[in-house]
Amino acid sequence: MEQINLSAKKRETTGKGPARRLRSSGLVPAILYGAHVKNSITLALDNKELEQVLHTGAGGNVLVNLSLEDDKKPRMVMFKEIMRHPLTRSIEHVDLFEVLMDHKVTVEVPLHVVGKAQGIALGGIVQQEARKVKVECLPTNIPDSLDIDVTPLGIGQSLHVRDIKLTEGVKILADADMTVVSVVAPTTEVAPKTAEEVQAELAKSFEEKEEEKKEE
Amino acid sequence: MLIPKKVKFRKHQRGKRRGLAQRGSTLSFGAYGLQATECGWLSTREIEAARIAMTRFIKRGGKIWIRVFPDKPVTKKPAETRMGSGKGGPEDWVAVIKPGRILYEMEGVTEDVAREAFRLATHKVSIPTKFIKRDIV
Repeated sequence: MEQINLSAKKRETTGKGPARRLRSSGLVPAILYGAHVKNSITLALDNKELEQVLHTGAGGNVLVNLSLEDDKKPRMVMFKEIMRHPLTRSIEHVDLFEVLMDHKVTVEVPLHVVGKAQGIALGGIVQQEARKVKVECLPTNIPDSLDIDVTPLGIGQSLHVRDIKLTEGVKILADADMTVVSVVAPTTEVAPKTAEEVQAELAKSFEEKEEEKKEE
Repeated sequence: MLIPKKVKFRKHQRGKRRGLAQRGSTLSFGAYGLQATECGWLSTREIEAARIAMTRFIKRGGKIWIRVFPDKPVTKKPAETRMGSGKGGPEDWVAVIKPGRILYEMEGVTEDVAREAFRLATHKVSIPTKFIKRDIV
């Protein structure tokens, strides 16, 4: 797993106003914490630098050499949470946590569907039930993604967590019976009820309700 | 048509649509989605029309999820009626949409097909929307 350098400044101000001013000046508010970080540290990261770090192919599971202004040696950190704006997708806030290289971490790794399922030829649709799966491993062993081969799947068949091939030192924390991907038959369209029909049903139920009230 | 089976109150007040969608703003089921960029009311007819437009285009290919439900009744007074004499009767059902809300999701089709299906769907809804796809981070 590759390691990427990232520089950060400490920030003294907190709250909505200062955070908005930071964002408008091209910075992203962040926080650093960890089991052996006594008090969490509020930081400001450069937005452009941060976007580059997150587009390495490993997604959010990257080991970052975080160099702080006051620190003598860089800290090894990982992303815990990345908050994005729902419309613009710009980064609003980042949670970083310090990792020890000899301590296992729990991270979510993306699942990649590989191959073309046999059921597709018969009109089936490959439906991915889980996009990510929680794994436990050392920070250096975190896989970029886990591949799952769907080639043998026919219509109505599925693959589960236990079918995922893992590299050494990686343990999946999810339930072994959890469905990951399945090939489903295409659904045929059923003529829905018209608005008038549903409205009539609803009006009838209200009338019944009112009658019940009167009786009481 | 999507419509509630049972409601507690027959008539609602109109309410406000301030801010962004706090829920339902990320893709949860499919690989592609249609996201609202502005706020508005989406009626049950619009939701159904957009769904039909998409399913007719993708035929038996993919799978569609509807992420909104019209649970708000809208009342209307009859034509040529004087003001007063109480609130009108329930006429329609709407879903309150705020910017960022995912309206539909799709899977099992290529990106080109999904884009075209959503383009057809946008002509049926009264809210400006944009196409989104799943990203890793």
